[in-house]
Amino acid sequence: MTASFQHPSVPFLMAALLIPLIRTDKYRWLLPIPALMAVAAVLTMPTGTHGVMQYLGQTLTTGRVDTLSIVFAHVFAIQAVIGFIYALHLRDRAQHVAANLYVAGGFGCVFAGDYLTLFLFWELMSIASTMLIWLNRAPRSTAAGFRYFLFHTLGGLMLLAGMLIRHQATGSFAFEAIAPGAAQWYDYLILTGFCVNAAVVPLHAWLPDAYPRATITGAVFMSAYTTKTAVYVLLRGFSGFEVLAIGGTIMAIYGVCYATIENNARRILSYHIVSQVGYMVAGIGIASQLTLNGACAHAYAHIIYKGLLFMTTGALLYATGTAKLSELGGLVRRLPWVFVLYMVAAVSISGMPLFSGFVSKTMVIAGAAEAHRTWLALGLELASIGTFLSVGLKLPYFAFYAKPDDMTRPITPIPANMYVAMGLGAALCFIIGVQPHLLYSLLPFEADYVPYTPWHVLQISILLGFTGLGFSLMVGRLTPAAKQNLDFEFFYIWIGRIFLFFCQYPFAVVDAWWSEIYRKVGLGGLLERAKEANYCDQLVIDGILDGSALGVRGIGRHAASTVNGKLQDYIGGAVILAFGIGAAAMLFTLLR
Amino acid sequence: METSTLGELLGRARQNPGFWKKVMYGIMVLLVGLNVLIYPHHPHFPGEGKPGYWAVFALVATVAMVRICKGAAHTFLGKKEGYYDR
Repeated sequence: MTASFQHPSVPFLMAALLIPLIRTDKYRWLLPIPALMAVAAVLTMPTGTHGVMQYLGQTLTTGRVDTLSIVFAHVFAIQAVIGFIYALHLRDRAQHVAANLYVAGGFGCVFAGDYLTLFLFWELMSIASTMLIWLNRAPRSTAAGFRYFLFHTLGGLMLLAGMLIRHQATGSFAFEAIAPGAAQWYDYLILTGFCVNAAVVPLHAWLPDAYPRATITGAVFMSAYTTKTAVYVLLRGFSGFEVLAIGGTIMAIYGVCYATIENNARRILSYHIVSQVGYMVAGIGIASQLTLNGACAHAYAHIIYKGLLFMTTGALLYATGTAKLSELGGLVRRLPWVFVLYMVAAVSISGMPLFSGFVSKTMVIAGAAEAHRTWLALGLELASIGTFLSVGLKLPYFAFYAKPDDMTRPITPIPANMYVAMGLGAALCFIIGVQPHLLYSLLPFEADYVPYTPWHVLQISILLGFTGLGFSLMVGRLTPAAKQNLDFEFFYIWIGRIFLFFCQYPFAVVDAWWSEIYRKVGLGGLLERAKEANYCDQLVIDGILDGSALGVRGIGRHAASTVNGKLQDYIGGAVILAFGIGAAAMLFTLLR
Repeated sequence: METSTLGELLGRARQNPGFWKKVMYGIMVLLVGLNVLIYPHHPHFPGEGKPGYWAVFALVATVAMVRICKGAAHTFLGKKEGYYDR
């Protein structure tokens, strides 16, 4: 093949430039084209280092192509096609521009060969995704967008600080794997920056805060790229870090616990991103060949089924105007296809055999068990149960059944393009599930894994089946409440408030004192000095001058009486007088 | 109100909860029965070789998770919507 490297970000960046310039609304039919060009570029690109350029006095590598970057780029491109088909009906140029920039940023991060290039695209993603929240054009979205941007700026600054200090220490921006034993403190700074985007607990609260408030189509894009780009950079740079193995398992369980009690469907799915990314992060931390492959495979499968979950709940929100389970229910006869497509994604994320999650999630769990990380493996099994409980049973039950059939609620017809996109996603979930070798052939590490053994299939069937039994026993307790559940954003907000308090009170009080002291002592002192100077001026200097004038007059009178007509006497007297006045004036000037 | 054949089918599914319960229990029994015949050759967890291990694990975990999480939501996590907008 004589293919050359075409950077997949370029068509998206061009689209972002062109969309505002086209006058007709028909441009929307062309929206999937950059994504299709990206698919072609990824399928034909040769491995190696491409796109090296000089910028800011540094060598930037924009095209590092190897098996690891290709597997992520592959699914990024496919999900971009699906995402833009889903957004085809939208007459909002700003959203299309933001989505194109965001996807371009995702590809840029995946192919970045150095920290500087990575940082530039990282920040592009951060800004464009903030736009996707703000463009929902609701007061709560605006506020959530500010919080999101603030938190990602903080993470970006940690990455920037870490990479600059690293450059100072090593003289290079090279983005290569760091051995856990050799990691310096600045490497941990970079790791923390990455962990913000990977939504590692306790740095995760931005995700369930912001994603439910993004636009319907924006959330579909955001669910795919931000966290998975972070998974990619963690895989590239920080595999084998124990903190990730434990942190990932905590994420997996933490996410499903919150998903069990949440009311907003998109917030439930957001917590499931935390949970599912937890599997990937744990796989990266355990770092056996099998778990690393599992992390890649799970990222691939996850992007497709999570996109489908956000598309189907987005369709629900589009049709009914709400994503709150307490306000939904009894909709299965009205939106049967949304229900079926949702269930395909739900059984995929739950790891049911024949669907995509089964062939990827079990890789991480089996890898953890084979690496003798028994507790971590057991934690991940527990999270699988919670996943099926909340996404596979609770959400669809309360959204589509639970209440009597709702035949009167006004329902906005769902555009055909949304159904096409959802159908594509569902087909991929199934194809990956029944033909796992298609996915496995992309994986970068050497590890053989056979998902369809009798025991694997039976074990997951028992797990899911008895979770269903548990659900049927507990369904009364699971009724969603129209409440807001506190999470770590409580602490972020309090840290913010304490900071604000310090600005308002102690700092402000010190500032007020300082102004007062200045006013009393400084300004008052100055006035005092001015008064003294004035006094001195009036009494002493003027006194001397006036006095001398009076004196001169007096002297003149006396002189007049003592005029002897001797010129030398007059001159001598005048000189003495002049000297006296001059000396006194000099003396007072010096004293002032 | 317009509905499709699929919608009718899915809507009708819930008119017979007793039947579905029987199907579910049947599947449970079948799965645990299969577990006697099919078991892991290299158990990774203590007790994994015994039939019904994962069944008990899943049931206990589900009930515990619902009780603990819902309990937390009822006592200290759940606040009025718009809690931070005060």
